[in-house]
Amino acid sequence: MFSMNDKASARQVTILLILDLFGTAALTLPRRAAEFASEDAWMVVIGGVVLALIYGFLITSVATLFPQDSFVEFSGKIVTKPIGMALSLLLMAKLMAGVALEVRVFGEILKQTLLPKTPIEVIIISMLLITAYLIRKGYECRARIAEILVVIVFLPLIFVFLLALFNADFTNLLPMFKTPAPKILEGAYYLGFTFGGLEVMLLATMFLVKPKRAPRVTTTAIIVVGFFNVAVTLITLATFGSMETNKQIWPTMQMMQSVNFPGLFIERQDVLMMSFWILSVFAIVNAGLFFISFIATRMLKSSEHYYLVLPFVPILYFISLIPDNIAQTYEWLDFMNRYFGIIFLFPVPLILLMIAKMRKLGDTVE
Amino acid sequence: MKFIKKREKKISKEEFAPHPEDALHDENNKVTGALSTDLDENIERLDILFKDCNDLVKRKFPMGTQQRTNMYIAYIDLMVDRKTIEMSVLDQLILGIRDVPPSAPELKQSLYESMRDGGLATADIKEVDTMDEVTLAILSGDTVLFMDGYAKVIIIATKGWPNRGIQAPETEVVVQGPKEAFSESLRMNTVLIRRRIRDTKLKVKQLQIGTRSRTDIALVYMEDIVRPSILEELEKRLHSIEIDAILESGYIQQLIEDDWNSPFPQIQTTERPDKTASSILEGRIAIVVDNTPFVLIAPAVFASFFQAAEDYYQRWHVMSFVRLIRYVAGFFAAALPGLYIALTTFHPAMIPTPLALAMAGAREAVPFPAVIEVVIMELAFELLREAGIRLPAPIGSTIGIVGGLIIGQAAVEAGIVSPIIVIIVAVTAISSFAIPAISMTNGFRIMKYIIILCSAFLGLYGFWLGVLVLLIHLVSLKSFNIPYMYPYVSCNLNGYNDLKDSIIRVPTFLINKRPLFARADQRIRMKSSPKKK
Repeated sequence: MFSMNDKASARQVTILLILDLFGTAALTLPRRAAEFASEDAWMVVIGGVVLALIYGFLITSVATLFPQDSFVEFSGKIVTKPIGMALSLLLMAKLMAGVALEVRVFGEILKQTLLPKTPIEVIIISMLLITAYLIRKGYECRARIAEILVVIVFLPLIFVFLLALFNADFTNLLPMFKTPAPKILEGAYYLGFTFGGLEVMLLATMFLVKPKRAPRVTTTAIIVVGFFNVAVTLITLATFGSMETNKQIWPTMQMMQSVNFPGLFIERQDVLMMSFWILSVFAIVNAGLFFISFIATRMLKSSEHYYLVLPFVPILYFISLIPDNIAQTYEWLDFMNRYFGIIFLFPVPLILLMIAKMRKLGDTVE
Repeated sequence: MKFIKKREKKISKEEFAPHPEDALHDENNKVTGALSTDLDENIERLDILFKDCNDLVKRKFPMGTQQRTNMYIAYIDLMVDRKTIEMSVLDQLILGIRDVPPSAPELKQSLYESMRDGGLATADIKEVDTMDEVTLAILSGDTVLFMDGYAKVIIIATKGWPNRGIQAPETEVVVQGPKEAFSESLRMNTVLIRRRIRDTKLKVKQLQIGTRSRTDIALVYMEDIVRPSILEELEKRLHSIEIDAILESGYIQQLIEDDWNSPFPQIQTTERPDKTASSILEGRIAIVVDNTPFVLIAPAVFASFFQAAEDYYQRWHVMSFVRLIRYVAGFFAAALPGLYIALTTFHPAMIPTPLALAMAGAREAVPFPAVIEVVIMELAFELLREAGIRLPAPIGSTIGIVGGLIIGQAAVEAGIVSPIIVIIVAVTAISSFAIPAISMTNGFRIMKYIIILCSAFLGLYGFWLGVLVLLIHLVSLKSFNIPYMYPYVSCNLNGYNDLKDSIIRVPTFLINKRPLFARADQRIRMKSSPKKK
């Protein structure tokens, strides 16, 4: 029942995925949505969620064909070994860039808000090291700690959102349905990338006790995170209006800062919220680093998992320090999303699925 | 060098000189050999084995009126119930037998059998035929009876050494609930459990560990509720222990725990029979060790250490509230000093302005940074606690007053520490005592310093890193294959039932299922109650 076989229940994988998808993106989400469709920003976010559901469906359809394999193996089976290897390497590179930039953004935000005198290097390396510590404990431990973190992260968030409703003025959302459909679709396409974390389901499906549950797991996670994203956008827009939302780098944090705690025991609750952000970023970096080392072990056919975690820590550390400043980091992140974000969400799973169906590979044959 | 070697040789010669007893022991310190039919040979071997053991009482006496057959009795003084020996053994064999006509044919033909079946007025006798069993019986407080011409020995259960009896528990006191605690006698402890569960499926499986101490250990469990895999694993671990002596259950606990390297206990200890009985009924296994009142309960998860016996005896509202308070206390015990350091030194903006000003005012005269201040006071408190534990009770309270009140007050007045620190340290200390299990408190006590260190370096971020390290460690633990943080992780395993008795305690009629420790087909605890059909 509890043997150390690196398997997790559907519930656990759902929670891991929720933590993975809901992260720093939500800090900037209202601004990015408002850029596309001012008052109708929430529609853009919903569009993103719908797209994410499609991505999730494609990814899990392909992954459930091969319940025992990860992307590294089944891509090789479907489109010959060399191409599969190339695809895996590309996925690894993308994850690495993603994690490195994510950790950099995190370090910058943390430095600005909590630790102005601490060198960013210390923040980044300590985050990477503690992540590596957890990964060495295995997938099951990741699943278990996610179950605890999800409570610590989401309960205070829900609490703050509820309080923020007092500040919100929902007339700010009017007029509705003004934005042309193509604009909304364009926005939805870009905001769909906030669900880029779905890629890990290409690898994580095999960790499920019942891999056939993967579609349900993914859908639940996307809907939960989508609900939160829409709520954040709506509340932020209603608090500030679309013009002001547009001007702020991190409108969500501004929104939280505007919240008045009844009784006002804690001043600057945004700092308090930051501390919960630390945990959520920890979950994201953790997922990234885990699957990077996982791809590496799978490609090298190493029997012992997770030995390869430590070498990646310094590599990611150096990558994360390449951008000169936070603006450049965001530029790079944007660039990466724009040109590479879609690859593993839509084309690769779709093509793999089609080829697999044509060649009658995987579990569909029976 | 040569000189040293020579000396070593000399010493080793002396030390390894063969003992006269060695011939009678094998390499595992077990007494070898079978019994002889010749009584004098047996006595001679016993005399060699018990040479210089002056606490052995022995007597050779002729049986009956004709006095043709000799018998030999031996026991350790005061370890036995003398009355039993004198009334039901010696009286029968020396005096009572005279009433039997010496010519009775059965006496002549089968003297031994008739002596065994008719001569001993006690139910608890046993026959053995090896010297090892004989010596063990003597050393455990039984009486051995040799008879000339027979290679068998009768062991009469006469254990009855003085002990302190059943007293009130000292470490787990309750307001409402039974007030008896385990004591040092294994049998008495198993009786305390048996009295609470009158079921033949309550098994008391005994074994001995320790090549020299031969300590009795009893596994007490419900045969049909316990998970076979856990029982098997536990027995495997127990049987692989080869040690000279087990003096307290802590030895066993540390030897069979899953992770020896964790500050957190993965096996529960208790001195309350009611708590033990309830754990056994949950499908857990109690390990009763002779000579200690502390019984081990395995498997144990994090949440077990926050449950007290009384939680189930009082109304659920207040007990749920108390549970919550205990978890908060656990958090404070580990994290409060760290949080204080993080907030005061890195993020004073988070503290409400009036409070921040008050704290800054109080800290004004203090020459040390907050970290040093906290560490000094925490260590001072540890010192006080350590000094207080071993002092006799009357002096103990003096230490409390002198150490806690006077020195604390003086330190604040001298400007070495700020009054806020004294409050923080005191709250941390009180919190740590609010957790029912001392062993769990000790885990938090160690983690506290790690979190202090992290917070001192990286403020609130460091504080969370410290908490994460703590959490990662906790989720990686297992107790006999049950995740340590269950039911806070994988809570769906038993249909979310175990959350009912976790951070809160729901009304008694709702706790109708046994927890995950029980076998899957034995999970129903309560079939009906007036509240629920």
